[in-house]
Amino acid sequence: MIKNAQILPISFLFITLIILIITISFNRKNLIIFIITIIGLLISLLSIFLIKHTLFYPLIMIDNYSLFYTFLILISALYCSIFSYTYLNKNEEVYMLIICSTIGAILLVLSIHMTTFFIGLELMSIALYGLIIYLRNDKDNDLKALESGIKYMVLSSMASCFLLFGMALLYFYYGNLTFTNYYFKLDDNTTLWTIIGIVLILISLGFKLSIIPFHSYTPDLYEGTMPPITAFIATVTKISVFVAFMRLLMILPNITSFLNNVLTIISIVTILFGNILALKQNNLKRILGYSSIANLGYLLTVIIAMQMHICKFILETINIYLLTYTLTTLGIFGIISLINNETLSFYKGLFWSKPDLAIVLTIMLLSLAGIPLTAGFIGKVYIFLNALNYQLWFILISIGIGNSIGIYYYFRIISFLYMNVNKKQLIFDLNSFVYYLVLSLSLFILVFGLFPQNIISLIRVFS
Amino acid sequence: MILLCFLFIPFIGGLLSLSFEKINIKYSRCSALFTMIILLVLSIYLCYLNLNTTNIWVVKYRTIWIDRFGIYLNLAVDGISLSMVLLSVVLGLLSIICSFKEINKCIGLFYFNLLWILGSIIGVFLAMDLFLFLFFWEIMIFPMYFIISMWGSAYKEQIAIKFFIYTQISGVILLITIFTLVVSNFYVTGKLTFEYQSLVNAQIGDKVGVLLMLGLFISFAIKLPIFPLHTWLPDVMAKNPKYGSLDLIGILIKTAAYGLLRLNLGLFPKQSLSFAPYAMIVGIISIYYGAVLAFSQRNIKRLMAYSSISHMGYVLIGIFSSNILSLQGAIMFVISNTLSSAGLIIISGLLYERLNTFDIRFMGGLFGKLGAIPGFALSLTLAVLGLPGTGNFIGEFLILLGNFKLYPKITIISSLGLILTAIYSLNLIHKVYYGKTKNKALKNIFLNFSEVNILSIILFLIFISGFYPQIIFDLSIKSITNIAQKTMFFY
Repeated sequence: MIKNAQILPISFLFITLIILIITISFNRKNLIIFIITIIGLLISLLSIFLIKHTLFYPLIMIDNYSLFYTFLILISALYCSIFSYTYLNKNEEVYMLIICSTIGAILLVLSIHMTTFFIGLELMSIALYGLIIYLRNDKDNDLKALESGIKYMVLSSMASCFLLFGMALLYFYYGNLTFTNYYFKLDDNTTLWTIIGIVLILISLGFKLSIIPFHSYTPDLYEGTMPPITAFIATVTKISVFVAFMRLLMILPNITSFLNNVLTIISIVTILFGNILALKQNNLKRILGYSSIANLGYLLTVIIAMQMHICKFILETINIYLLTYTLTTLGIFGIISLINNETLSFYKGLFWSKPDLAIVLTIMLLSLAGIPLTAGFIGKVYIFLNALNYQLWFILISIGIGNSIGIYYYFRIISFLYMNVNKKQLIFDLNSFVYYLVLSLSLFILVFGLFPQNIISLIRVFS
Repeated sequence: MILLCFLFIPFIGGLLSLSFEKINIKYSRCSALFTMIILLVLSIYLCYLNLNTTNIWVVKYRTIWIDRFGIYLNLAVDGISLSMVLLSVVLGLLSIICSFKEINKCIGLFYFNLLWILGSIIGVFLAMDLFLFLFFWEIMIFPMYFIISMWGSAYKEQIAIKFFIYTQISGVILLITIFTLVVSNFYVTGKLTFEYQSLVNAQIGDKVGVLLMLGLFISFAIKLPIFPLHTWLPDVMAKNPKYGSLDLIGILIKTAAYGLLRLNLGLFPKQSLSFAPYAMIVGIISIYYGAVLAFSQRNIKRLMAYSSISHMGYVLIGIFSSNILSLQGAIMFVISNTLSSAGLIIISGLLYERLNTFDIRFMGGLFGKLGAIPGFALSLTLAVLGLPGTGNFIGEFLILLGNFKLYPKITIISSLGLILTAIYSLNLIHKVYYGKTKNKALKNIFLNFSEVNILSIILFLIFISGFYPQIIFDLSIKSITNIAQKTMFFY
């Protein structure tokens, strides 16, 4: 019983989910449902601090690393549900789906077995289908939402098939499905089928992370969904899948030099093309979609470094980069859901009508671009140091080029913000809760950029 | 502690003038002016301290900033950085006085950007920790971007982005180089440190050293700018607000020269010395290229940009020949060239106010019409072409003199470039101020009190540095001797 108490965040979320289902069937009041959701998320957020490290062999492992990401996922889920409360005022089922998806994401982060891995992944993505095709009673957006939802569903189920097939192939050779060092040994006797199995798993995860050859659905998905849900996709799914991917690769020892080269090429292509494709977009959310592709490309370089030699510095890099990425993305999508428009031309001259929002958005974009004074610079420094430390020269050059290209489109958005255009007054509620949340996020980003030492030492504990 | 104040005063002043805008525009102007005056007083006090010590480092400040990477908030001032800081503070003060009349929209934001640029430039000069250097080097870019894109003229967004991409490339190269240096030092000593004083003694292999030196050189050459990497400067100069370009030419260029002097020569003396002939050839190319292109320009500001490209060739030669004479010449040349081109840019702004054009073809016959402007323009142009009695002459002379011992051929070829300088600047004077009057719609506004004062201060400084250059030499002699001795060792 004491041991089972260690998965408190998940059990609290389950309880919240059940309460939500019951309440929705009796009483469809948006505010009540929202408050229940927030309380459930907060309780499970607090329960993280009660947990000790445990291993539920062979399914779940709880260590500092997974706790940190559980924390991050819960925070982003909290932010997304608050965003969706202000964004749509009528629909209560959103919170249910968000919590369901969050449970999947947390399970994915904790998993060290293929079964939990698969269950978590599916729980997360099946709830996401519902979130993506959420209709807003607006013809254009609804068509887009339907399109992106169907795209995501078909491709995602394809990816799941790949994953299952890969798992079956691995089981065929090893007779075991845990991510443990002991079983996954690659040597000269390894058959072709095993390597194909690993490749299939990598492909399906690459699809979830939208790495370049498998990226084509991402911008459509970002464009089609509502901003709060886009924030959810951009943070929770990316974090959880990446962390699970890390765990899988940390266990797989040196996946042959051939696969390592393939990963290198993929990451270089992801960084360069993710940035280049964003150059000519006119939709803010599409730009952010491409930028998220590029950001995951930067993170992939860390995985390549990990194949050479695992050390704590790599985990620290990933932690810091994901933290800054999550906070920045949440901030940007918070502003988009406040303003409720995503075409770039709408943002022309935002500074002259709403200076505070424009400044916050500028800080967020500068942080994504990695300019000093913001948290993004610290993340950039970590990525560069990591690539240098492992002497990945090609990757280093491509990160440099990608970064300089990235500056172009981030500053294009910023220059739109400060254009001198006479425009009509924007109508939205500045006193809403989201506004203060976004403001606090931007302050946090500035403080992190100026005095990173405290947060770094905090994160070093978790890595 | 004085250095910490020095570093933070401009940033705080910028924030103050941004927040005062809501209350009253005058307050934000006053706070910007007041900030600069405090800085000027402080830097004069530092000069006074410098003359009374025998130590190379006048004042030091060191405290931990990011413990994880061994990054210190390590500030120090020596003669070189002090002369640069003094120059940028004086120029900043002048540009703030100039902007009183010029800038009418978003005044608070303008001063915010201007003061942040100044603050980050001062940070670059004071930083003795390479991470801090990088930090300020990159901060400097984005207020500059805002100044160009908000107060610039036509096509300003594209130009701003062009500027930004160039400088960002330079920043990324600098970042990679510095991190490589730090990591390779970490492999040798096992200590992660970004500090200049300990990286000076880093044991770096020859090949890696050459690569790192080249990385630093390229990233500074983009900012300087030198021949193949210069294309951003003319566009940015032409499309800048007039007082913004004063800043640009005056200050951004000096940071690159300072970086070459401090980092290239300080960290990699041996490799820089072996690279020197090639760097000098690049310098000669940009001297001739800039001068020839300056001759054929029609826009005054583009002409100024190409002339500054041409002059930076001399600075490059002076820095890379790296003996006491030529280094002092380079510093002298940077200071007086900055002052004289700043003066000319102010004059081109004044001309624009009266003639509504920067185009040389629509000017002509202005002598004796616009009050004191042609007189000032004539003397400043003569300063640019290096007439004896101005600081430019001293600078060029010392650079060439110091270089002659080591690379006589290069010195001879580069000194011939002076003739081209004379040709294009006299051509400019001739076309603009003599001949027939072409522009009928001439507004005969006389100079007001503050403009006369600014121009006279600039001229006064140029003549002081020309007639009694010993003041500036005394400031920087100790640290220059230190650098020159280090390279002397490798001859």
